[in-house]
Amino acid sequence: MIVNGRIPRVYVFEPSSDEKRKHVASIHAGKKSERKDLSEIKSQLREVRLRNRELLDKNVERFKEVLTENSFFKLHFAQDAKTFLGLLRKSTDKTKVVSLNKSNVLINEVRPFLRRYGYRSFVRYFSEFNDFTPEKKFFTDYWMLPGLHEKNLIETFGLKSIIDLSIPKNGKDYVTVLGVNAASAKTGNLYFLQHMSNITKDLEEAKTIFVLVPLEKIVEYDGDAKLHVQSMGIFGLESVILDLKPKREEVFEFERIPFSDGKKEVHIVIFDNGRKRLLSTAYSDLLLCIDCRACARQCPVGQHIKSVKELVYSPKNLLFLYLIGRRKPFEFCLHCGRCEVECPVGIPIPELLWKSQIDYSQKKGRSIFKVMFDNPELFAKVGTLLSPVSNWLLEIPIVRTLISIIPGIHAKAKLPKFSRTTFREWYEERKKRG
Amino acid sequence: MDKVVYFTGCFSNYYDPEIAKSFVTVMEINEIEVLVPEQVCCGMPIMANANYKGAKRNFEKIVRSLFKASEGKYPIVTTCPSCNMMLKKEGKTFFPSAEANYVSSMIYDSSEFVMNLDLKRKLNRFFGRLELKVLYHNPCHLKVQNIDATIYVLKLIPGIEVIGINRDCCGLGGSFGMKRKNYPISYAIGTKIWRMVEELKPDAVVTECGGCGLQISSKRPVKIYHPMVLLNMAYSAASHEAA
Repeated sequence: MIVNGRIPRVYVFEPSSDEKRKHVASIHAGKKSERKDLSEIKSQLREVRLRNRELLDKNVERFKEVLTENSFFKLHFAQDAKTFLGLLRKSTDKTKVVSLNKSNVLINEVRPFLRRYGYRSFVRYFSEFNDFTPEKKFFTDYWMLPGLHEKNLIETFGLKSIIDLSIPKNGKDYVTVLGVNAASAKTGNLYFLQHMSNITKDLEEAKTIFVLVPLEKIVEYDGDAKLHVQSMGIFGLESVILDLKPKREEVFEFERIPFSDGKKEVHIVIFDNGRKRLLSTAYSDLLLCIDCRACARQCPVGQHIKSVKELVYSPKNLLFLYLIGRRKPFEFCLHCGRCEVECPVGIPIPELLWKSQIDYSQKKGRSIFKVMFDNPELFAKVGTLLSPVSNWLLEIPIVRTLISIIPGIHAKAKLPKFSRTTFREWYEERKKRG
Repeated sequence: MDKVVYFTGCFSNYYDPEIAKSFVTVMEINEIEVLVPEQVCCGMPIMANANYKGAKRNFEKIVRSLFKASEGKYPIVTTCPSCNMMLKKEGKTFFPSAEANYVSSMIYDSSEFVMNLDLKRKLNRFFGRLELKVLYHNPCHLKVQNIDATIYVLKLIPGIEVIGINRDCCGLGGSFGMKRKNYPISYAIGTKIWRMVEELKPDAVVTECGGCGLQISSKRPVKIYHPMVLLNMAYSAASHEAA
């Protein structure tokens, strides 16, 4: 029973050279190029995000209405990851194999629960690196990235395929869970960006499809959703390149699973997981995020933190996981500020990270190791007063060993030398002499 | 007689006063009086340690002092990028006040200030030659503010050749990289700049940040100069040439 005759569809965007061809063609024709510059895209994106954050509740309600009109989809609301797992278990009594896309909401917020409940999950994206060898991995850290969009080599993203999930089809006996990049409240259309072909394959092949729609991904119009997806491609390209590496543990031979007799099931899950509550806090700017991970692009610590290997890393992701109670505050931030500069919607991530550390400290107290660093200026004053003895003391191995225990200064760290006279002393002396 | 208010920060006062002395000398050569009001730490390292009360106390004290010394008209100059970042942007977000807003609108990095003097044709360009091939390291807290005025300033000094520019993080992050838990991460990040120094073999590295200089020189035996120190050396060289 289809009331309005309009069936929500899946729109899949992929890298496309159409825009480049148009640009080149307009040059040859002597016409002005229609290519937008990055700052124009950024301001447009920010406007869209601010409007849709304001409309969060309305967008969710409208999205529900549209999908409820279509009986083919099973619509659910999941308050948290556990609730989502409950839905999954109800629909997948036999199979325990799950294919995921590389959505950071899915990987960071849901996947740990999949493991806990006995599911084996694989990110099919990595199965498509068939001929990849380690020697071909040219980029191992952010500073090796070529700075593609700074060179105006924007690789744009175009619509590759439209999939009608309501067409009855057979599926293979496995589950796919896919996190959307955007969803249109007006039409119910779902938008994905893919760089390989994993998403398309899963939508075509899986018998049981779960589409995870985080609250803030639901936008008012299809135009908004398209901008989301294309912006994610543009601003996130280098983070994608940085992640290009084989992950053997993610490979599973989905191609070998035979098609079964049962008909496809499509479940759409609106996913909160703490997002609604964020709206009324000082952290509400996190809901402006489109998950492009541009903030990770120049994050100097991101490639070196071992505890985040299982996650899709970005400073914003770690902050969000803290806010929903899944991790302690991110304490490896150097506070360099690059993430804020890179963010296309201007989320002040460094300030929010500071705030999260302060909030946590005010609740839990601060460790002795933090307290001992409370007054660096006093330390400097004493150091200059006792100079050069203080400098000499800090060279003695036993002293370095002791201070590496408390207050925890690494034995190999180079320390600045205290000056014998301060600038203030020099300045006051000079003033006296006129 | 023009005047500027100078905020030294901790590094230029307690660890490398040569930076602050050079800045004062450079200003005096340009007939600018330097006012140095009572100062405390800007609060940046205290905030980084999640000490909200301590940072608030320090920040509010320093902005009142700088506000008063500025008298509504004198620009405020820093020689430390992190202090600049705190006073211009981050402090006023957490500890808003009229004084904080005022200080934010009047603050300049020292190279930025010198560059502006030159653009207004007010900079004394009577420099002597310094024969140096230098690598310029743009510290994070200037890069994210799009301040790289030092490149402009270095080109004014005869004999200085900028053979490379690094805009990536050195990895130290103030006391971050000195802590036992963080040192391996800081070291891994630092490999980029150390490799660059090794490959380019500069006579010196120029950087505004004392912490960055410390990190760069911790693994490679290279001389570190603050741009104000080089400017002062260039003026000294001129007076020697004239003698």
